[in-house]
Amino acid sequence: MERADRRRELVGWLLVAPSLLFMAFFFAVPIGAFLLRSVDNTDLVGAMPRTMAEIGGWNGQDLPDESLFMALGEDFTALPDITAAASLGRRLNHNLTGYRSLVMRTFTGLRRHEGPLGREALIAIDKRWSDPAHWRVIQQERSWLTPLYLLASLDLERGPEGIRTIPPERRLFVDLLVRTAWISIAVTLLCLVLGFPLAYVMASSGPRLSSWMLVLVLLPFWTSLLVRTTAWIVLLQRNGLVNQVLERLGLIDAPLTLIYNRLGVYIAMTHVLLPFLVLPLYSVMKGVGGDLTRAAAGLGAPPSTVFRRVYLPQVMPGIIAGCSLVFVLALGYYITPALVGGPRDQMIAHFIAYFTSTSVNWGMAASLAGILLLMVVVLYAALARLVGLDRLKAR
Amino acid sequence: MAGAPNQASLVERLVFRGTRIAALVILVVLVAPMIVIVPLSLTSGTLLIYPLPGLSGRWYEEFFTERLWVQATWNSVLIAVPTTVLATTLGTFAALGLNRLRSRLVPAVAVFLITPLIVPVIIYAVSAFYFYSRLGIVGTYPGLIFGHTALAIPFVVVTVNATLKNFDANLLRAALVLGATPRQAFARVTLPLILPGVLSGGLFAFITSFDELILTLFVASPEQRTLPRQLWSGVQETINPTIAAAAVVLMLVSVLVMLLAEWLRRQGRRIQGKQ
Amino acid sequence: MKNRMTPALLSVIGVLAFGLADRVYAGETLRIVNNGGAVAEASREAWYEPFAAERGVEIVEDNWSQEYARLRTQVETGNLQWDVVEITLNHMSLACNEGYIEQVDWSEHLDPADFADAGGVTDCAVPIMSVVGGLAYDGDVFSDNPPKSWADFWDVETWPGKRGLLFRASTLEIALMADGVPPDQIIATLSTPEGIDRAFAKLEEIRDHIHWWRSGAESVQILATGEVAMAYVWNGRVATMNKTENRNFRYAFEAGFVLGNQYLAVMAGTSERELAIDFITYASSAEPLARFSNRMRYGPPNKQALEFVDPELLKTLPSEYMDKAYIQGGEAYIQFWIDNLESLTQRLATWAAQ
Repeated sequence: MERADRRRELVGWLLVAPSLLFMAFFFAVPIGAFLLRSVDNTDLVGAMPRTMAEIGGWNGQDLPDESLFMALGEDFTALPDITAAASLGRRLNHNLTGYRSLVMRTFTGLRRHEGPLGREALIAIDKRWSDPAHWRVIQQERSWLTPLYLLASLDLERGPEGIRTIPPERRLFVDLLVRTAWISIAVTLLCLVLGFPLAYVMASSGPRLSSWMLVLVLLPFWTSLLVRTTAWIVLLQRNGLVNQVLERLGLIDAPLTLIYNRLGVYIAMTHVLLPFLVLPLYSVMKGVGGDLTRAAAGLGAPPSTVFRRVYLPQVMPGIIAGCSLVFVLALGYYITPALVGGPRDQMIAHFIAYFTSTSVNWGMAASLAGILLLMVVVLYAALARLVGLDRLKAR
Repeated sequence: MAGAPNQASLVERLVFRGTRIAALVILVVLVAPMIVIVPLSLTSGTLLIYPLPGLSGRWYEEFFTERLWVQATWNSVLIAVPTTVLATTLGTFAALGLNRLRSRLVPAVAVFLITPLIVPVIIYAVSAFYFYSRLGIVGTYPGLIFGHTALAIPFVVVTVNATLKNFDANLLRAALVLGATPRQAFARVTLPLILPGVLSGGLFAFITSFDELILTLFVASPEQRTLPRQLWSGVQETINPTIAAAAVVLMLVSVLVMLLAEWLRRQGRRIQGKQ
Repeated sequence: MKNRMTPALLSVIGVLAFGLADRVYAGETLRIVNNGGAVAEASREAWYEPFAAERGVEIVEDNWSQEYARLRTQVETGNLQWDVVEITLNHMSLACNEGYIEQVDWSEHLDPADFADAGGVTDCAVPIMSVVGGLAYDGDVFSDNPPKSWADFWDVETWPGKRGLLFRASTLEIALMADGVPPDQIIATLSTPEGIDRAFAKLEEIRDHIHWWRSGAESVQILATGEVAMAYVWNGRVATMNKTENRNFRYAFEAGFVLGNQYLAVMAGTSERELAIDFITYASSAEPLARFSNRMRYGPPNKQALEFVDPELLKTLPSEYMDKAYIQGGEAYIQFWIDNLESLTQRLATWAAQ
């Protein structure tokens, strides 16, 4: 018997293993490796090995001594090509604006330079090397790990006297996090307000009508998000159908701005996410029998009391599941805000994409991704405690 | 409140009626945007606006003849079909395995296998881009197929698992008692019973890949432009009615897949109901 | 069941294999990225299709909106997706300086003197269109009171509606022009921190009225649908729209305008370097270039092409307002954008999102 059990287990693991390995290699490892980029500093430390070894001994105030200048000069001359110099400059520019041109100028200057390397040579190429601030950046970043990007994702930076907030013209990410959460909350509430009556009527209608309504809810659910967003562009644009109808009805004189702003984001995202609230809510409502509510009504409770005290508590798991699902999905939205929002309506996902494909700042992209993932995981964990994970199946 | 009560007051009846009307309006709003786009794909004009200046099939003609769109459609199929096969095979095995195991690790394994449903796709997309660029498979068909497969496996696992949950193990035991070999029992009993589940899992996998955009944006090269990718650049640039035609085609595929899935679900219920 | 499934399965596999094989065993391919929309169509007709037919190669096209990092990631991660890049002067200068596009001795392939009047070939690239960017509006909407200056563009009271602007750092040049900085002072002004603040302050004035566009196709689209009342738009896009869609878009050239080139360059490290150079040589030669110009209505930077150019095209160019032109080019311009392109791009993105 025991042998049969062991065999059974073995076969079970063998069946699960291919998926497990596949998901580990093509899903978990890439995400893990990427998230590590949020603190990874090896590119910088690896590009300036001599300087990094020396700079620990510098006091951080006076002009560094000759040997440190020598080390820096040697590191720069050892860079393989101008592309490597550009990468290094861009990396240091994340700490201090202007560093990029300093590195590029030094690199090209050293190529032309003849004679001994050192303080005199470097300062002659660019006098910014006589400013300790530029050296402090290197000293600060001499470790293999850096908090730079995680701090920057919260609009913070390391100053000479510890952590401080960055200047207002560069501040963005705290606002962005708040905005992302706010848009998600607003969309969730809109979905609840619209989804509750819909799910209720679906659950309380006869089987035939209810299955027709279900098909109509499933239709947008199965349709590509991109197609639905495109449809909203067509509807909401300045001379789109909505404005035309409103104008024809005499409700407005001039077309309203319904798209490429926050309103457009709310409308399109609510539409896209509504089925995710209706479906779980509907399945819970369908399971709620009429007995309790009828009993309460029979005992003379007014309808509003029956609704509040008897019906609502029974369907609460459905509300919680639906709302959380919508909220969590909304947090990571990218396509819809990109197509129907303006620059001030973009959410955190937009900046993850921006730092990946428009500015190639892996550190920032990974930090923001880490923050987003943390929000999502915490919510799911809380939710799994509350209602059980098997209710949260999407599509 | 649930189920129209007989002794309902006027207010109550009004609320009830009001809720029904509201639900109807919401349903219309839910479906209307997708209906609205259909006539626009048949416009004879060049702008996506009503009223239509006339009807014409020119945008469908463009969709089915213009090289970029044809190639994109072809690419979508070339990526979705292998993804479906791979994800359905892996996912079905995993679901069968999960059902068999008694280990305490099962819930953890199950959660791990469905994480792609939880992690925002943008995070996966940029990670895959970063990882693929180290492996040198950015802009390759296998890279996209593997990426889409990771996104599709959870759907297969969940669907097949749900079918297996309803599966009556007595049938299998009966077959074994009657002298069937395990292989025969699987082929004659298990497989027919879970087949609807496997096929709808496959449909999920297909549509996941066929509609996928975000991962494609990051890891596909111009050679692998898929239909959603092409539609995305269309929407951002030349908003001409070809994108309406493309949207209608994508929608038709979705509706077809949905009807098939729904039919399979009923079929599955019928087969299992017979037990 | 099994017997019924097998042939179907085999044929699916067969079709797929055929499709894949088609891609694997195809001959040489040249991957070209352009600015999309009408430019892509014109390039296809004037250059890609004839060149592909002549050389028996396949051309794969992609489009971009000059997102510099897309160039950079490909080279840095070694996943080249393009062989030939269509690129603006400031991005081209930076890419050439950082080694993301190849240095080519163009004098071995063409006569640089032909391009001298239009700014000339560079260490890396050959100019293929001279683009005018200016204040455009729908002549049917503003028929009796058309806008005449960038101040009018900023005046959202008199001319209500949104304003389309290009979502790139170079728009800061327009902001300064609108703030009254003479064309020859723009780069000098931008080179100071105060000048940059001044440009952003000018944009701030109409922040809520700006509709940022990212691709040329989008710029005329928003004008056509009435999403914006006026926009900064490139002349070829307007001319194509007027011609193909019978629109009446007009320019206020007297307001001042921008003149700059688009270039073709070879991606650094591409395995198709020779083919890419051949393509660029072909595209910039007299007849193919004139074919492109006639279709896209941009001026040809090769003077040999002028004799094949439709005389109507030359009439649409703002030759009588040349004193109002801000010409993108020259040492100071190139050096400024090499140093500042990325930081200003970043600042614009942050500002717009704040």
